Amino acid sequence: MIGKDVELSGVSMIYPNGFTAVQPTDLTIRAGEFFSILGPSGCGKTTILRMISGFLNPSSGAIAIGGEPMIGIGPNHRPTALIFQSLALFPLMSVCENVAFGLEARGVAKAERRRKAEELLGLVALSGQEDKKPGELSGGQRQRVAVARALAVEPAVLLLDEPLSALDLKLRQHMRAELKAIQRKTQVTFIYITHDQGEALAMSDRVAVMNEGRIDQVATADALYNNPETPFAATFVGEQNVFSGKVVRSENGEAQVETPHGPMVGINLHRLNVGDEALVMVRPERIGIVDRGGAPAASNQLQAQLDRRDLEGALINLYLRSGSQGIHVNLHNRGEEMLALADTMTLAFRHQDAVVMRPGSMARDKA
Amino acid sequence: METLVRTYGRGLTALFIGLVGFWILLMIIVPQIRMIERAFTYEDRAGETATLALAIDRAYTEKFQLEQELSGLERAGPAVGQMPSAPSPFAPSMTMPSATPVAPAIPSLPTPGMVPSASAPSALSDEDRTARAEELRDQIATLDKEIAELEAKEDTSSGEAGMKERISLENFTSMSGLHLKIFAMTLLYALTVTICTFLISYPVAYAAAMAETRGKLTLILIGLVIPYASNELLRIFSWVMILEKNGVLNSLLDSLGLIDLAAGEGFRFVASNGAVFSVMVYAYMLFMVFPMYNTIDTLDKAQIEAARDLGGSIWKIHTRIVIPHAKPGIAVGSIITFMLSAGTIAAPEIVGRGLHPDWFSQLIYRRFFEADSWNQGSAYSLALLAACILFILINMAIFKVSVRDIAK
Repeated sequence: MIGKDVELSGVSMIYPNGFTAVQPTDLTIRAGEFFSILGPSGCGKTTILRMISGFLNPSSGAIAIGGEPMIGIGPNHRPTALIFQSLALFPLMSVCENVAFGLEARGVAKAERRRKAEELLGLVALSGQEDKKPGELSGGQRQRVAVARALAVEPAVLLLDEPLSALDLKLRQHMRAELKAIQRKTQVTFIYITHDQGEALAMSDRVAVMNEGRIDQVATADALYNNPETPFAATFVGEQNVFSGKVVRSENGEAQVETPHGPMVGINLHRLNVGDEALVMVRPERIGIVDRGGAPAASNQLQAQLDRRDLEGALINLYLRSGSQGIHVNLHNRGEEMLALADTMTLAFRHQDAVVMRPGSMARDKA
Repeated sequence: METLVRTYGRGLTALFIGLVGFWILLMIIVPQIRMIERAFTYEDRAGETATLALAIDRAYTEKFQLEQELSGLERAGPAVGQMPSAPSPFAPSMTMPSATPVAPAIPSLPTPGMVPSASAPSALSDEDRTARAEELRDQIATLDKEIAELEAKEDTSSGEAGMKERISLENFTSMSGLHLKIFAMTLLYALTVTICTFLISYPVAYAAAMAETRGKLTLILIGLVIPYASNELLRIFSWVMILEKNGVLNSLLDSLGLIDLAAGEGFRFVASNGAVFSVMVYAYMLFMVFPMYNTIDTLDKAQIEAARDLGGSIWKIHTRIVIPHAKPGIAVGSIITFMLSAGTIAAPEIVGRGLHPDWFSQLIYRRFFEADSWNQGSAYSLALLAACILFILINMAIFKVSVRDIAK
């Protein structure tokens, strides 16, 4: 099996009822890559997947797989295979028949189908389960049957529509590793749809963050977390403390923002000018507490009161308040003394850990 | 039971149970038992007792007629004298209105053996009348003797005069070769109707189940249900109007210039198996569509998409995914359609007009109401019922569904 690249140029989707699910989008997915599309529900990620698989025709634009134009070609004739959110295994067929369905549809002889199905079930570590019905398998096993069934037709691109969402946390983490391993082994291009940032960050070579029908940012997992480019990407991936204010100074790629909590300096990502509205974003784990050590010198500082302290084992979550603004700080547990609640303390963070952005839509509360 | 009492109280529970018991007894057990009992009771119509009973009946009729004539003579003249004859057992129940002198139209022709008209005796002289009366009394006396002899021979041990009944399989075994052939053909016809109904209903049920919008689904279902708002007979007659020689279909062909109705061309669509089948397919489609729609509707649409995505052709998707899933619905629909068409009488009677091959149901009807042989009719009905049950069992075996699946 060998992966192919997928290219979307100016692809948009407007439903007959006038709802724009996907704004005109350009996206290139490289051959053999594990690519995730991450976004909240209703952001249009599934629509993109269905357009790539051929179940939906885009309202405009072109899709090419491996350089070949795909518009007008049905899902059964594209070099893609889709793994459904519900898995959509055929409950009345045995595991083996499920896996071999694509081959049966292609007229492959029975013995050959069986051989191929057994080989694929071996790949997903399900040898010996050939003659069971999907209903007799556990959630994780069903998951792997779905992967084997999709791989049986030797797709160049495997499309996965939140296939892990029905599994419990432990199994999900295990399946992440397994999917990644299968992808490496087969070299098939994986396009993975999810609303779970953990899944996207853990498995993907690259991640596209999508919001309201638009792709905000495409980057590697690390780049996405460390250098988000839009307020939505910044807040949807990982946690973020957001302070709003006005730019009062801009120099050397840094901007100083006057906020209700005092002046803050950060990287001027969007090259804002003096007087512009701005958001200052800083991650909980980049904030330190002054006079507890570890707080960097010459940093942004603000006063806050401790509301709540949650011990999470290796991490301690502090929920503080400065005026009406909640602030989340994430400390490593070094076995130090407890902090008293309602204590006023001074928080500090470095310029390079703060990003100044133009205001825009942000992720709402995530589950 | 306890839960029922707890939920509804004693009174209502008793009512429920009473109604259920009544239903089971009166709607299921009693008619079935009666039918089975009749089916296995054989009435020997050609046997000795039957002929004997017939002879007695005839003798009584003759005696009654003679008595009528005699009483006419007596009324005409007192000279005939009082000679009271033994009251015949038939006389009180069979006083015919024509025995009273109402129609003095024809003065002559006293036909012996017929009920005499009142004016006839008056034309005769007193002597003649007396002689005739004597003659009649003699004849009556002979008949009385005959009747007594015959009745003595009659075996009344059964408590019923007339035909003797006995438990026997003869109602079944006496089925003629022709009837047996009609029986077999009817099952074949019903099977044909069932298969045709399935072939037409499946796409409809599938389309209804796949309808993307509520509006589309409502439209399909309303279109299906509306014809059933009218009476079954009306529906059949409307088909007759379409299929008749001067009907809608031929007029359509005529207006298309394919045939010339004025020149007497035109097809007689009615009175053929094809017409009967079409009408029945139409009449029973709904019973096939709804069970299938219900099962197809529960199919996860993603399965169809998955099959398509994996390269499945339309044929493959239906034979491997949709139909196996819809099996319980198909089984239920086929059972209902088969039972209805095997037992129907209206469609073959009205559309067939007696010109097409008979259906077994028509035969049963004629056994009951024309041959007046209820026992044989029951036997035929029972045979049909058994065949239908056998069909259900075979159907369930083929579709590998159990009663529990069907109940779903």
